[in-house]
Amino acid sequence: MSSADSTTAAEQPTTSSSGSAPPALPARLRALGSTTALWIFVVDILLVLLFGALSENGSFLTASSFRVLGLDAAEALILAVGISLLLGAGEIDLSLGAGLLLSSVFGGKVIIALAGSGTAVAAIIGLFACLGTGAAIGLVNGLVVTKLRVTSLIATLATMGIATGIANIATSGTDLSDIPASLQDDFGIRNLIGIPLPAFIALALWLVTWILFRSTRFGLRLLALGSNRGAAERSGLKVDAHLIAAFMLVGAMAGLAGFIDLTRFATTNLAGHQNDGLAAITAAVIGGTSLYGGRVSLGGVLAGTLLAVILQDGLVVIGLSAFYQLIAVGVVLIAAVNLDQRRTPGGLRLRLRR
Amino acid sequence: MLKKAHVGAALAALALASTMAACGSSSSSSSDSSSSSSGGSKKLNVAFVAALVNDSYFVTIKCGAQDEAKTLGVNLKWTGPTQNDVAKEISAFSAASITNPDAMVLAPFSNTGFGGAVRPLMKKGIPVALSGETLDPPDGLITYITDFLSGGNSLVDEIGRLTGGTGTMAIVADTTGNKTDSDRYTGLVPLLKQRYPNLKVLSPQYSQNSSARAASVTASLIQANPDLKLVYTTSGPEAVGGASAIAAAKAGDRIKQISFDSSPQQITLLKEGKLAATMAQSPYLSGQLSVRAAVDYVRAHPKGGPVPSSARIANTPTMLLTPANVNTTEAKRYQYLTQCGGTQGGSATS
Repeated sequence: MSSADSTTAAEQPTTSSSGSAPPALPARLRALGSTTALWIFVVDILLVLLFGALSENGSFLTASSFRVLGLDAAEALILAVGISLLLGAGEIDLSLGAGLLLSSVFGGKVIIALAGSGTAVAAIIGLFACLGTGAAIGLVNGLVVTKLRVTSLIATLATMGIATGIANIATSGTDLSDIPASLQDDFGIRNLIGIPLPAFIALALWLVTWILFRSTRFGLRLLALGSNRGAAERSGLKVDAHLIAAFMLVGAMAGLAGFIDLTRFATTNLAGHQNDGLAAITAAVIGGTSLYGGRVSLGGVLAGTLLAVILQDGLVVIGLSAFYQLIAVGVVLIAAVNLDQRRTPGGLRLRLRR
Repeated sequence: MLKKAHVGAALAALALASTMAACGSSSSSSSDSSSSSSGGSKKLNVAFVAALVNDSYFVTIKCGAQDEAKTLGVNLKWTGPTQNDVAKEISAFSAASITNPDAMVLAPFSNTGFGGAVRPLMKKGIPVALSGETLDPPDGLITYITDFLSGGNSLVDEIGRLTGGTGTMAIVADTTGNKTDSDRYTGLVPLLKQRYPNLKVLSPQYSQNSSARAASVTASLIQANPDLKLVYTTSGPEAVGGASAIAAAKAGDRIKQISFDSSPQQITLLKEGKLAATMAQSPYLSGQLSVRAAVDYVRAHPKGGPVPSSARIANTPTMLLTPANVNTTEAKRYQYLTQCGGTQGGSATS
């Protein structure tokens, strides 16, 4: 656990325990493993069983089917984990999809340029190019929010456009080709002990973030910022530095997702990532993370992401036609969240009353 | 520690600035500014509105249109949305039309919705030529559109060859309500049913232009249909996703993929054997011809007056590219471009 902490400690501007954390925090922390997450997991399992029963020869309940789910969930989970950091701090980031895209463009360009010096070298430097691009976008987001005083909704909407524009300019509007196909086999679609490598990475990131919220000062402070910004400020918390760090972390995660996208498809997808950011926010909120800050459920992030992927893949596996799928997804979403609301009456109102 | 944060910030800003500078230089060769505006007397202004500017099909159209504009000595203004969205394209068209062009070319994403914007222009004497899709009703001057029928027939033959007329075939399309996309399979399905009654053709699944979504749909279809033999993807991003899913399922031996369009990624897939065939259109030619038609009309009618709308359709050719023919000179002319200029051109006329 402590080794995981060290990665976040570097981001922490203060090392002393300056100022006592707001008293409400322990209660908030308990919400990490919220009942919402549990209920969405139950829905996930029910759906898997249902689709298994409805699919021909139970093909939805096979190892290869779960591999498909894992691979499809990887990028979405990374983005959802990222957004939970910001939602916890009471901020939002709409530029995740654009960050993913721009990272994959710059990373791809680096990989193409270095392809001569070996795929492994190109891949590693390409990965850092992706992470760096993502973090740079996060830095811009953080600076605009904290220094220019633009709310994160508008700031990241703006950077979403800017990043997408740069991605299109950098590629003259055509997706990259010439990315070594071996990158796909060695990374993007590779299985490790039967599990897709991208899914491994996403789960590892999820775990690290869970630890970050559970037992690091940085995670605690992010929640404090989202819970009561004024109190956090008065207790001496360096608000701007924490927010900028959070935006950069989230940006780097979008960069990681961009690298996975790049290696999975051996190209970029200029017109295909518009909905990624919103999908991540949806997954987190369905799982019980508050849109208004101070409450994060990492279990819910995982359950919510899985819900979207299970629905998306399961409805195709049972052969439902595309138009009915849209309706089915809508119905399940309402039912899933309602189930939770019934179980914990006033769950949302509790937040609004404060 | 504040200092530290500042240093980090400066470094990251520097990194962003340098990467931005790098990409700026790489794209400068394909700047939008049209052919020289140094001509003495009044040069005609042509506004071209594409359906999706960040797509190699439309980049290739742009190259054809630009080269033709240069040949004809007119100015070309190129515009269009960066997302698959008819509403955005209609507003781009309206914006372009108020810049007082002498003629316009429209590559509509949908056969409906543009009439209200096109009709008043035609009435005012500004011809609107169409590229890639008809309007319904036919409000434009002329339409240059891919010969889907002959293209469809050679696809049907290829599908028969690959499947032996049995098993299951899946269609992974782009978006719903997108006629330029649905043209690629709505006519095909009845032909297939007639020729190969034992081939089961699944109802189309949609990818929303996302490779990731296309991959997940394809992977699910592979799960659901043990006798799946063929996946037909209707454009580049879908082909990329389909190929990734088939490779991840290690099913390349029993499941083949065919597609529509000829983007650089699809050409790569063909060469790697991950795509059995793809139907290439001729966007370069379509860009050339539609600009020429619009300019010719203006020059033939110096006095102006309402432009008669016409249902006239001129078909542009297709070619079925396969791993066997992809390196031939003829096939190279059908491969879409990533940027204009040089000796590439794919001009099928000159």
